[in-house]
Amino acid sequence: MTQYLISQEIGSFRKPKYLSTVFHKIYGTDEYYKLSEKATEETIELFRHAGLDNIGVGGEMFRWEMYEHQANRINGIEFYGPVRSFDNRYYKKGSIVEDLSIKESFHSDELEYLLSRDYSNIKIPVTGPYTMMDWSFNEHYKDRYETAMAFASLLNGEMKSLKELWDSKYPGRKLEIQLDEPATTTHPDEMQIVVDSLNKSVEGIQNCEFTIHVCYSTDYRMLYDVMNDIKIEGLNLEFANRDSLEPGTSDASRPGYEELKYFQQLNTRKKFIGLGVTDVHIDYIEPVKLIKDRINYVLDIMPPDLVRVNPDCGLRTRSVETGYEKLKNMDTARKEILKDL
Amino acid sequence: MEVEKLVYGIYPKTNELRLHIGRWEKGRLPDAALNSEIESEKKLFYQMLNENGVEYTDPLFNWYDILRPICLITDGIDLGPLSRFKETNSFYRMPLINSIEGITMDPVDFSPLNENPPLPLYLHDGKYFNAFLPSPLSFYKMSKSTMNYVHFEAAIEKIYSEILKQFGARKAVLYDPIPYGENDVLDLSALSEFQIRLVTTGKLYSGNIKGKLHSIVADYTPENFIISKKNSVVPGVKLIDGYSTKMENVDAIDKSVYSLDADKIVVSHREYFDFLPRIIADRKLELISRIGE
Repeated sequence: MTQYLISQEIGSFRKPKYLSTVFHKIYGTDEYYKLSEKATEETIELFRHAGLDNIGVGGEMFRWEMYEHQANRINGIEFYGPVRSFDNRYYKKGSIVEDLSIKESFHSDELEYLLSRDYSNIKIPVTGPYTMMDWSFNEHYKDRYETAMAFASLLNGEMKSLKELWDSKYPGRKLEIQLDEPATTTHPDEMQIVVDSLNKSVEGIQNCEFTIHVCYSTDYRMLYDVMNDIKIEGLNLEFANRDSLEPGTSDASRPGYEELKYFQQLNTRKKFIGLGVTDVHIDYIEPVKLIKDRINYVLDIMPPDLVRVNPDCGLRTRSVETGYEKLKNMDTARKEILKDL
Repeated sequence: MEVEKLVYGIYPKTNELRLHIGRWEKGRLPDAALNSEIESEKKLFYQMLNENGVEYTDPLFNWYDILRPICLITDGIDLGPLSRFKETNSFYRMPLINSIEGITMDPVDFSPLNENPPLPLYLHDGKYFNAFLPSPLSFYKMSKSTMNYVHFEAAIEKIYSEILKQFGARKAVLYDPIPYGENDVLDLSALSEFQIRLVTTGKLYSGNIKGKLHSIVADYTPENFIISKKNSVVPGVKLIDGYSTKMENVDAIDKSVYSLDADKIVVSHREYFDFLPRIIADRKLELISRIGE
């Protein structure tokens, strides 16, 4: 049976203090695994309580940051120090100094844990090749295309390993993998690199549902223009950040979602949208009514089987309480709409 | 040939200052204490550049982005959604411009701000000091505005003039991170009483800059250099990469500089250094100080 308005989270969630305060000190030790597993378990419980259909990987408790986690596990990258992303937030931006190769699997340990706990409604976020390239300094490869394709080869190997692990527990069942590609539309003349590197990453991997997550793009239309060329089934995107907080389902009330009309015009391959309905950069808890208005506005543009609901991005910048309230209201809103569908 | 070296824009913070700001964000460090930490770090930065005879702007350790403090002290501009800064993984709050009525806060004295570390806007110190301001053209392009550009430009330059006068600043760097279109015109005549160094990005067209400025510092191409020479008292070139950890070679830079046809020249960097790890920015700063020696 087709499921409508599946609810999912995007990736990260606030880490409990017992983990965040010691994360770097214990990284890779038995204690790291013990505390990451405990935090994952608690976050999954919270997601379930909030009503999420898909629990992701339980808030990415094994990972500190989406770029750094993977870059740390690749040979050929050197770190000189953190670089600011916004306000007082930083990420460790690496410099590529020689040919890239895998040092150790990025996410097998996390997946092994989830499988050991019999979780199957999961979606594994993996930072995509274009973003890995764009967020690295390149002192080695000829150009940006070659760099992105080098990352794509590594990711292809990594995702094949994840799929093998998954098949050992759930043979014949689809594995959901979300390629996080926030950098996707930042260089308008490089959309072909995005397409080629993503397709290279998923090459030869069967029975997976691949999606991409993009956020804070200045123009999603660039992505919509090429989406039919990318071997993905859906796009999980940020919209609430660019929307009004006023209720209503008119175009004027919902400026953040209007571009989806353009998406749907081009959507000949029936890709689904993971609809960002709650802003992860403000503490304001969007009321159920506002979230319903956002979803209903989009349901006038696209059929419900092509709409999933999620926060704009990972909720790690909000407190656990605020993150939970946002997810809870999201779930209530979609359940109220489902009653009428 | 005389070589003037220029460092501008947000400079990466030390780990210590990052931690102080983190504590301040969580309410564990009062505004005044943070202000004092920021001031100490700015003084160290100035000391290093003064010793090397490098022109500099305030390193803007208390600016979360290159527009925000100006927005916060200007009546009629609100902070909008989080937006990507050009093609980077850095973000700024997009200004929402309705009207520009004047300055609502004293930019010179210590004063707490919402959503940004406290004022003052700058620490004005040293003979090589320049105030930093976003160029009106990029400011406008990075905002959502109900005003047309001509009105915006006139109004924001009035604000800039007031800020510079309040600080007693004679020199200012205006930065244009967004490339010019062929029909863009930047008119800085309202700021003619100040010595303006305009740092641009990308290709310049002959009609882009109205009048003559102290210096136009552009990405080096023969065409850009001709425009820079024509519209500047001292032409300028950007030769150090603020987006790459790879170190330039000072001899190669000197060779490029001395091959240019000018009696005096400003040499600077592409993009401000906040996109680099601090250790690399420090090395590039040291390299800049050796250019033309």
